[in-house]
Amino acid sequence: MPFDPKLIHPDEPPVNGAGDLELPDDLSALAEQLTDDAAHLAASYPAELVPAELVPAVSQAAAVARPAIQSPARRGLRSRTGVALLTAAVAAGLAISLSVPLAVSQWPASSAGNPSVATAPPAAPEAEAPPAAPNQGDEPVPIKSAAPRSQTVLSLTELSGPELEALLDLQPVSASVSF
Amino acid sequence: MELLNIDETTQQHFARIHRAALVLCGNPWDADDLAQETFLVLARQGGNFQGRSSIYTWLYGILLNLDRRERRRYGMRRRKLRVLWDNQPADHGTTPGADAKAEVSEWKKSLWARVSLLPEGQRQALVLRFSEGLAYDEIAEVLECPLGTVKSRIFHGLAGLRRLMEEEGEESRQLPAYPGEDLSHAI
Repeated sequence: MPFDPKLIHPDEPPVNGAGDLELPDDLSALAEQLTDDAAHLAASYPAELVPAELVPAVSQAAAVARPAIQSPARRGLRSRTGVALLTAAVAAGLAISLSVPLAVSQWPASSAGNPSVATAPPAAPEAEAPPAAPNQGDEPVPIKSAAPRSQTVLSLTELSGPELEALLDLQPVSASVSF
Repeated sequence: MELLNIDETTQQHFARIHRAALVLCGNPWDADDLAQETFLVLARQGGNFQGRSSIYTWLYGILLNLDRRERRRYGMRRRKLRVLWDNQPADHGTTPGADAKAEVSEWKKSLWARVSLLPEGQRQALVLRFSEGLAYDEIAEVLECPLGTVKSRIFHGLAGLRRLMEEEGEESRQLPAYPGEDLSHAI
């Protein structure tokens, strides 16, 4: 009969025929409690939805770390997208900066219900209304608002005294008006 | 090799990495830091992902390495400060030092607080198996060790945990009772 020693390693864990661990009852109970405790901790202190500052930071880190891996097509797409976003942001900023003084300058016209108000479009910062004719009494007077590139045409005869004074306050310092 | 979508991966796996970090470090603040740092490392090294394994096993590997690094730093700080403490007169104050780790009570009361006292290999195997529910082969992939080693660590980790519980039970039984105190309700 050949010698066939079966080496027993005392440190080896007990496994069943399928190769899975066979845990004694007390160790199985500990394992279950570990799972329950982990679930309880996760429920008590859940991860907030990915922190708002993490995703941009991760994207930035990825972009810094791998600029050469991107294909030329993707680089072109990203650059075009960035330029488009930048242009949209600049246009929005200019629109906002122009619409505020326009809203202020339109206040006397809107309160007087003046249908003859003509305003330059706020979304076209490059547009500039042509200079109107000199003041002829009842003629509409072009009044330059605080924004240098837009003009509002108002009919002075339909404005009350306080509204005229408000218009005067809005005029640039260089404008000279006398009564 | 398809490029890894970092944003999508972050959205998809952040919660599970945060859960594992919470179990490892015992408080949600350090867990937040660990989880976020894991994904920042992923973002920097995402180009090295070959796709031979699942992405979450790779993330667990990063997390465990970061946790190991933090434990070593904490231990080094403690050892350095202990040199200073030894030269100071004994202070029997009850407030913990500034370097004490903050751990939430739910974690302290759970078994995971005892798991943190186990050796590193056993602790990591138990976290991956019973907190994250990974299969043995996935744990072997994360820990970069043979399958038999994983099972051995899990078994001996649980045995070590049982021993710690028994020692705690013996300590609590040895406490002197106040007259009239009913120890049967002691926690």
